[in-house]
Amino acid sequence: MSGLGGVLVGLSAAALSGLALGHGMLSGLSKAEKLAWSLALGLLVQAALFLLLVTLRPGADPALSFSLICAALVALLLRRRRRAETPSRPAAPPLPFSVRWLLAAAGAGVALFLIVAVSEPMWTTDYLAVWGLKAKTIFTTASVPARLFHDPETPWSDPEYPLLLPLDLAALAVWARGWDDRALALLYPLCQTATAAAAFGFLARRGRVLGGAVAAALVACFFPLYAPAHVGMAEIVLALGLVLLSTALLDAFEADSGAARARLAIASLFCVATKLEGALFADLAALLWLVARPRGRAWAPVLAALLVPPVAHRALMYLARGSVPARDFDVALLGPSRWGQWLGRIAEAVSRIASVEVVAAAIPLAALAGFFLVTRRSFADRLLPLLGAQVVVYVVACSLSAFGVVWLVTAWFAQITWTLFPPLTVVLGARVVET
Amino acid sequence: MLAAASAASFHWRSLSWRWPGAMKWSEPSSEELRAKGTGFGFDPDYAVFLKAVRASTPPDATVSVIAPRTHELYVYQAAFSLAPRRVVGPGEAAVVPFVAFYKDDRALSLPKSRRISGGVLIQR
Repeated sequence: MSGLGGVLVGLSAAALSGLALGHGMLSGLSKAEKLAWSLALGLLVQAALFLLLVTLRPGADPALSFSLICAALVALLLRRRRRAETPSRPAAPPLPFSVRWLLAAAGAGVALFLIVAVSEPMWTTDYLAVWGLKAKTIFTTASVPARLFHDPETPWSDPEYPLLLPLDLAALAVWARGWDDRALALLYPLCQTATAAAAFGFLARRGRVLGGAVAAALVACFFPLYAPAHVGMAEIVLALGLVLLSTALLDAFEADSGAARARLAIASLFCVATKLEGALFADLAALLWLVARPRGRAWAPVLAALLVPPVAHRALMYLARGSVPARDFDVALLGPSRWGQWLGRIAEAVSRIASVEVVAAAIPLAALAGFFLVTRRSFADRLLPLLGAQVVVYVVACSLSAFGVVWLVTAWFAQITWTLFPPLTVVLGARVVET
Repeated sequence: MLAAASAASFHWRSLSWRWPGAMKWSEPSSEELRAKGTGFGFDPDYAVFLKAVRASTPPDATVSVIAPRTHELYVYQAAFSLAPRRVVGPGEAAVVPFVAFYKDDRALSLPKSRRISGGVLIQR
């Protein structure tokens, strides 16, 4: 079975650890949402634990202490479960036929991607050059060597990127007792499942079971994102974070509660620690909250939940690795003397995206436009400015590319924009009329 | 329409070879599968060479890999496959303890060189 069994145990331990630690903030959520939040929190916990152990004793095998701490967390969960009074809940009504079909479609999407993900060891360029290289180096040295950030021979490994994914892959490799990059790929279908579950559970909790099932099916069957070329990269993991942050933000708009703010903070940290675009999403979410928060609501608690984790993460990364130059963007273009050139590059980016990317996605975009025309506004429409702003910043980022506008549009724009589709399905599902 | 567009982007034909791959977990090892997989599609022989370099160098070594620059994957595959070894380019070849030449027998004339699968390794 090579590392398969170990990775399965590791992923289960992550989810159970997350469930144990998130006990308070997950109460009141549906089972599907709990699955998603437990996995996200568990991945954060495993990464932090692994980092702590290899920092305290670099070079030493962290397997024993790592598994003992995880076992203690799971024991804590079991103890809580035994203690907790479990009032008998009324049996949930059977799911309508249409909902069952949609959930079956979601299951089929997960099954197809599972086959794709584990059919061969991870191989994508960014896996080899960035995520997998860092993860394998961290695992095999049982440390986070400084050369990951400062080696002049590997500037293409994007040393400025955050380390959640490499640390989690390394932690899973500890469970597998070796580097098995086919078994490690199981993380990706699990993230896909959790993303679909988060969208379904959130909408079902609000009485929109059909909308939730539509969202889950659309997420799980979104094969431009859940594709072989994205296994080993951070986009699929980021999509989970974006959905969690979006649903937590909608909860925060609805009512002020400590649990909702805790979820917001966890989602914000997950996004920031996964990819730079996740930090942007958290920043834009904070801006949206400032501009559009309900009247009479204090701005500070939710803003702190959104922004303290990114600030703390940036401070920790700076302390750990110092200043790391970002080589992907030519920020000198932002200087007043080069505004003319920059505007030209923005026009070039817009033109390229309109003529290539938009044309390639013309049918789904037309379907989306039609759907918005024939459906009514819903509470989840609050996410639309956030998703729109994220796309606009991506276009601007393309205009600042140090390797040419067309290169970044071609290599990055579509694949990163696809990560916004899962949170968009929450908006779509909320607009579906329940029958 | 969204679902149809999404389904159209799935490579259904690839299931014929992905399904057996996904079901087979006993043999061979992940490393052997990687050598035969998509990642080395640009040059399958390079996987054999990197395996030989890995077997001939300690994990904490710094290795200069001299390979074609015709494809970026020559660099990325070397860095990943040889990790945790530090992989450097030809510019550092004069100062590092190991230099691995891919498919270049001329390097056999250099001192302390020996043949390995797919190339030549110099150990100083």
